[in-house]
Amino acid sequence: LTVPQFRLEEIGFRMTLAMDNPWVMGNAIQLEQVVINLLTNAREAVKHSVEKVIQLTTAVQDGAVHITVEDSGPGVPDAVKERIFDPFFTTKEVGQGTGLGLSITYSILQVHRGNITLLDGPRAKFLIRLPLARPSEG
Amino acid sequence: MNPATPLPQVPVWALAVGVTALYVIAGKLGLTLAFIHASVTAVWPPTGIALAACLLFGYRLWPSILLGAFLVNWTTAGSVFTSSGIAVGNTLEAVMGAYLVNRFAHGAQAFHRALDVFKFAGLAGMLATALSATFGATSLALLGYATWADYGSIWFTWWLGDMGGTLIVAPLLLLWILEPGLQWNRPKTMEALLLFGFLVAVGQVIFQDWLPVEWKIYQLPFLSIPLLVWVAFRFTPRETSTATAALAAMAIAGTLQRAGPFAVGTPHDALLLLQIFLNTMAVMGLALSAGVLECQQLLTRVQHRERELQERQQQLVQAAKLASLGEMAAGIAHEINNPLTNIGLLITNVLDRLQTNAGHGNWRRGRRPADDWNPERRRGRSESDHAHAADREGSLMDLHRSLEQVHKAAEITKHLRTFSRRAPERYGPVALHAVIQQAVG
Repeated sequence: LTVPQFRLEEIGFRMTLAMDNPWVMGNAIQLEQVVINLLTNAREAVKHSVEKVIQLTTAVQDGAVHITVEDSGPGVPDAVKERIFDPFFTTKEVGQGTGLGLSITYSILQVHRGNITLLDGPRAKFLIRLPLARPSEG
Repeated sequence: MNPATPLPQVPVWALAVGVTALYVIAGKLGLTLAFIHASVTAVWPPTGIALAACLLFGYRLWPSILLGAFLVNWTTAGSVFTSSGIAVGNTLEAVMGAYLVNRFAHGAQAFHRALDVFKFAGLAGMLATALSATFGATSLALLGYATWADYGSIWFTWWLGDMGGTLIVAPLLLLWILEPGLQWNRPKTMEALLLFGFLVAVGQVIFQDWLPVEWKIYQLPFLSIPLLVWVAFRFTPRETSTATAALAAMAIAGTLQRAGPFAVGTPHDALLLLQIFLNTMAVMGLALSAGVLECQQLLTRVQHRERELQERQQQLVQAAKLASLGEMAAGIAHEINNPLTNIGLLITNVLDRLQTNAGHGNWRRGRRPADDWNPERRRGRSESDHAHAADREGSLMDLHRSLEQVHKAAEITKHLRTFSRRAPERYGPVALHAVIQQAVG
């Protein structure tokens, strides 16, 4: 749903998926919402950048799947960092966004016993951790 | 020890020398206003200076205070011993007062909350000053510079004088040093000038007997209360402490000239009345202005919250709009699915018909449909037959592609519907990469 829009806006998209096919416990629609939210935010972030690249990776580590979404946008200002997961907090103009995207993402991941963090660094890089489904469950 | 506002960086030796010098000058000035004994004043400003210095720059300044206090007393009256005793008392008073205020009343920020003002008044104003009074009165009496009979009254006026220094001078210094800038607009400046004019007029009326003698009444000092309330409500603790200090200056000046309501009885009585009045006014002004400040801060916070809530409500409206847009999208996806199914069926029909009619068309030219698929026969066709067949195959190919596109469109609408549907929260094993592929599209 998102990559066709990337192509329209000439945004480079790179996806590196883990070799094994990780299974997690959860709701597919909600998890899809999480990925879409992050990609949509990344798209907004690179809108006015010269270099427009969005990168999505997955990796399996310590019994969890790590999904990272990184964009080549200007990064997240410190003042925003503290409040970025607050409901209704938005940097967009009124009418442009609901300010609920990352908050919803956050609560979906909580229900999934996972979490989302904004990694330190000059670029916006979000890291999602989701526990792997145990073989008995999968 | 912990000034919250950054102070200009001054070398320690300059600070130390400055505090000693200031202490001596203030002490000397204070002593020119001494009442009973050469060393007892109505308000002892050095106490305020020492306390403010400790609160702003830390306890390490204690040697400056000790030296300053010693110099003041040694050059005024008494011996090395009395001066040492008094100096030790003054130093302990400042260090202990600063420690207690730092520990319990937010240090130099004590005048921003009414509760802290009361703690400041109790701990630094009443408790720590008792140390100085005890050391001072005992030193004087022990070495014969005062009689033991006077011990009680010396102790008491000493204590009240240091309290005045703590409650009137220390806040004045702390508040102006921590916040030196004036940001008044024109009306505010006018109001300040008007207030100051009133204050001076009322001060003169009360303490210089500007009214005819028969109007001289002892309750006149109450006149200063409304002015202090005014400044507390309309300005900050800084201006309030300034008004209190101005009032104190006028009161002391008047009483020393044996004018005003406090110039009654012995000098000792006058001093006592004056000290009690000034300390009461000081605590009232500081507490009131701190309370007003708290209210204002609360109001600002509430207004800020309110603005934030309004913004959030707008975001909520937007979220609701997007939600209904999502439902509409689901509905439209459903509606589009029907025509898509029909188009798919129609294309399939056309494909079927073309494939059967292909035989029919050729049959008219004297061939059986099966010939199309027989390479041997095909070779015998005419040029136009070849062109026609290529044409038809192209059309068939296009129709197949169209059908593929229709299926793709149907797939997208189907996904749109599942995605926007208020999904029952079903949990189960999910292949993550499939989810990501779906999201990426």
